Amino acid sequence: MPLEIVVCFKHVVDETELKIDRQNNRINFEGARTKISDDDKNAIEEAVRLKEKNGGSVTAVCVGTADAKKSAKEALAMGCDRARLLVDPSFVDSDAIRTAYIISKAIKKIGKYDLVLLSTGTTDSYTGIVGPALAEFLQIPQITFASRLEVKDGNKLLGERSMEQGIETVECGLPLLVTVSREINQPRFPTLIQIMSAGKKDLAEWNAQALEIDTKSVGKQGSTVEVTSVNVPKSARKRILFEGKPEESAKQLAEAILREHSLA
Amino acid sequence: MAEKSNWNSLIYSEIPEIAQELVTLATKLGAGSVSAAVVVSENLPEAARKISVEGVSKIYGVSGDQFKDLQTETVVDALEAVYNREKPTIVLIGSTKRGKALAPRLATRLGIACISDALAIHDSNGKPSAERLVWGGNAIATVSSKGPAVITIPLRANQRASGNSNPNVVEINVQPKSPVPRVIDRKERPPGQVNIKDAEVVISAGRGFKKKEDLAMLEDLASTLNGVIGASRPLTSDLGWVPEDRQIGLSGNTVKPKLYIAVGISGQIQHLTGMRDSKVVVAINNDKNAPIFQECDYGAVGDLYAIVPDLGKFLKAAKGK
Repeated sequence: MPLEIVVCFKHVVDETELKIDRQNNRINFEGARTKISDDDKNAIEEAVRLKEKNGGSVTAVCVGTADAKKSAKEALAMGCDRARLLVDPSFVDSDAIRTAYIISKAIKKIGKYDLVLLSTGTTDSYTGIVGPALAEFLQIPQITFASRLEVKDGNKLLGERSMEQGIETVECGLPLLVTVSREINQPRFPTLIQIMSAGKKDLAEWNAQALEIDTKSVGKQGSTVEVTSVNVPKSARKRILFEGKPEESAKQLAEAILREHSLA
Repeated sequence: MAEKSNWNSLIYSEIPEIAQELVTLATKLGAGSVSAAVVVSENLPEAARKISVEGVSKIYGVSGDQFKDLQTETVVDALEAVYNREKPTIVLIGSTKRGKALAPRLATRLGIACISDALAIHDSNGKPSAERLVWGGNAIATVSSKGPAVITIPLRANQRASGNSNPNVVEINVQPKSPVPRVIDRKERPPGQVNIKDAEVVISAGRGFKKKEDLAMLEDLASTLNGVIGASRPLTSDLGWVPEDRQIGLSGNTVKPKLYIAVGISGQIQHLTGMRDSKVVVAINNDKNAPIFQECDYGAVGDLYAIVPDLGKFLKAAKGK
């Protein structure tokens, strides 16, 4: 049975390229590149695989600024059929629940859908809030932490959830929202041909007016949570290093351990 | 956590021990009342008894067949009913996977704020604010809420409230209303022999080890120190050399032992998040620039294959004295 899938992704600063400014206890963003948040690629990959197996189409959706276009093209290169960038000055500083609301309006505009896919969290703030909040706005059930997904009987989804105690297998009818864990798949690297043909695919920007969003209900004004500061905590560690011959270092380490810790 | 606030709080976790931790937290935060929500399919009196600990003044019990598998949607229905009765300023939910899946949905249902994985909670002129890790654990963000908030609390082997109290138990009837996924199977992971979260000494292995068999060299060290062996994500999820329940890091366990020894671990942000609160951190790595050396108290730069056996030898000798 063909599936109409919406997959959400975020365009983030690459956290592995950040520098820690220990003098001022701040993060230094200089020179850091941007990317599709790591686990969002797993969500995109899963969406494309489900389409390849069952038919249908995949729409990639991203709330961001205009420079997210680069990530939208990457999602298209990975196999999404179309991309919708949700961009508006009023969207800036939206908290996670407002972001979910904006996406829900885009999904209403998209119309018919069977499945919404997201990751469980993004590498910048890892709140894990957008998925479940979006499911609530859409009034559909959710399967979270999915490590495996399969279509069953043509109109249901079977999901394996990786929980603390073990694997829980669930099944659910459509429409449905699923957040995937990164163990679900290995995202593909698009080929040069796929990258080049992505340029011809359907990429559109939708603003607040197109989405029928009241600008007061989003952004800083509409949000209930606000980030007031971001600091690098002072490292309280001693950072005493031993760099001599292995036997010497081992001895010094042993002495340090014995000083600080009771072996009894 | 700063001066006491006047907030009423509501706590919930599907795991009684975590709920008890939340009671301690809520009690420390405010002079207001602490209520606990219990959501079960059977034996409500027993579930209520487990949370009748010091600090809890009221228990809201919601029971029914629809709660047998504790799907998010039904628990949200239950907690929505409890919230509307109690109207607390903060709802504290344990940050298990179930808690993480439920909190944002509940906050959205109630039209209130949601803050996840709060390391600390403060009262900012009557409004809740919290600190949480961002940028892969490299920085702490302070986030503030404009009003009541649902806040998830990461599990950190906090103090558990105990003792006995005799709180009022209020039963609330909640009819099933939301469609839910059907649970058709559960496969439990065989329990590990030891709970790494409670260990006082953790020795953690990373990619500096060349093969699975080499991990055996840590056993001697572990037995001398009475420690438990853990590992970073590459050795658990990716290579499968060490069982997953011993993974330390963002997607594994958070531990706060008295002594943490990182062997052949570079100190990626995702790993550091799991052991930042260890009392003493020791690291062994042959790369002087490995990030782990910025987050350790004592470090040895060199070949772990040479250092570990000698370290074990010296410690054993000292123990023997």
